Amino acid sequence: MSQSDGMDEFNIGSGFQFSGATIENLGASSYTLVTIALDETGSISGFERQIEDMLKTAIQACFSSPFSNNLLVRVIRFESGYRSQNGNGVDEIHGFKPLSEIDVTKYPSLTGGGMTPLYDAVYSSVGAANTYAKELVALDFDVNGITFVVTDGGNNASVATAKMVQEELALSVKGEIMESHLSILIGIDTGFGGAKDVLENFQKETGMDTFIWAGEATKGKLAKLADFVSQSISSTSQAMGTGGPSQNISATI
Amino acid sequence: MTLAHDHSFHIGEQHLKNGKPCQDYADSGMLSDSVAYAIVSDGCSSGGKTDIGSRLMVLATEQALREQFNPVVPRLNAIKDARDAYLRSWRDSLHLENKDLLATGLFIAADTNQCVVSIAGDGVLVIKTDTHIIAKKYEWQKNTPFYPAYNLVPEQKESFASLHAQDDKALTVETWCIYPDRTEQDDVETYSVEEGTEEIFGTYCTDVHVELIAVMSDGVLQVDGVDWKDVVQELVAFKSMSGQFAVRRMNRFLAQAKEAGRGPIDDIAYAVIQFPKQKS
Repeated sequence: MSQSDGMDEFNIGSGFQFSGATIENLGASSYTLVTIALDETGSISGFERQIEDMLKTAIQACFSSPFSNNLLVRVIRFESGYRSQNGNGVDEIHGFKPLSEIDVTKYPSLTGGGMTPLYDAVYSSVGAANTYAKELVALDFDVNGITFVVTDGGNNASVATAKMVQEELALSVKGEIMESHLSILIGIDTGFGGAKDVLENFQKETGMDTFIWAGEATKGKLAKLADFVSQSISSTSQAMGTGGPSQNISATI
Repeated sequence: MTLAHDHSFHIGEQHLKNGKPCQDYADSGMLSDSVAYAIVSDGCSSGGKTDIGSRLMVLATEQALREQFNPVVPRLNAIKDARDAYLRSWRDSLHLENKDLLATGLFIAADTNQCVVSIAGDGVLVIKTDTHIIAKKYEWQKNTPFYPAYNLVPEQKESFASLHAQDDKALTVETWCIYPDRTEQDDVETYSVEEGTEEIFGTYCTDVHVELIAVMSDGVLQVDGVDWKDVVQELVAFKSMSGQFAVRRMNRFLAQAKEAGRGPIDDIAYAVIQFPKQKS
């Protein structure tokens, strides 16, 4: 692991890496690992600002949670163009960081382009959570997790395979690493007909816990999505210590 | 190199089920750049508001240590007097009764050369070296330990002494050595009530072989289905020296204990000072 600015680098495997806060610097005894993965493919062109606003609003809302000190948040974006620099279609905006260290005003702008490495996004999200959680649990931290993957279309350009994704998801719930982990696939409508069915099938094929169709990528709908994300994070962090995931996460937005 | 310190306390099953608050309290910190402290207090269940009393005991001890502790010449009497003065002042200003302050007081103050330990009441002192754990269990006859608050009311101190008048071994201290493959009783010391009420005081050399020293409430003796020496061993099996290392260890231990049995019956607390690995 190399160190930079209080963050360490970790390997998931198969050429995927992520970063996370240096564990020795963590002050709490339990953490919820939150991952938000955002589609930055060509089809979201014209919707970038709304998606950015959704992300910033969701993160900002987490600051008022009573468990804000127990959140470690990772944000990634995915499109096939990142393969040339990263070896896979994922780019990490920031690794697992204490919420208090996140400045949403410093988030980069999204620029839609490329095809959809959805397997890469899920593999990186869940694989990183599993890997980091293992490190934390070994040092007596209590850990649970929640992962949101926001996309407008199915997979068509991944390095990771469906099998790799299935295995990481299975590990996240049966591997007894995290106390609980919830994986949520969120579909947004940017005009690509048939996305809802494609994504529903993707969720079933990979074994993600929940698929939610957020509808049109309008400002209002994405604001509701931001609210859903922050409430789900809060519910998950409250569920720490109960041995299972939150019962309060809505199945719809 | 900085000393690491942490503490943790947790309500026991009896108090949880009876709607009573946790009467154990613990705290730890630094008195200076090079001296750390760790304090535990256990309130008397049949006393008054001893959840408050145990907190005041810890805070009074901390304040007394800040004012009076000298690593070169530890002056226990000056520390005790300062602590008791704070307790008396806070008791009166908060309009508490003396029975609200009936709580034990165990503390450690340490630097990288030596540590000073004081035990008033019952509990466990733990010293972990690179080869084994030394656990000293302090137990009073009739389950009636000495509480420093008796010093504030001479009649109560006399009454306590009378209670143990017939006990030539009012306070027993068992010393156990816990090795990876076996456990051996090393020593048994006994103290009269007079010696016990003066509080048991000791200094230990924290040489390169000492990894940590901790004080624990007697709650560690009452974890359902777990021998107290195993409780001690688990609670000091720290995976790191950073952050809330004692809170994490306690939480993990309690989760495992509750799977095996009912967990801690009594409130449980401990405070720890870890020494950085030193070159020999």
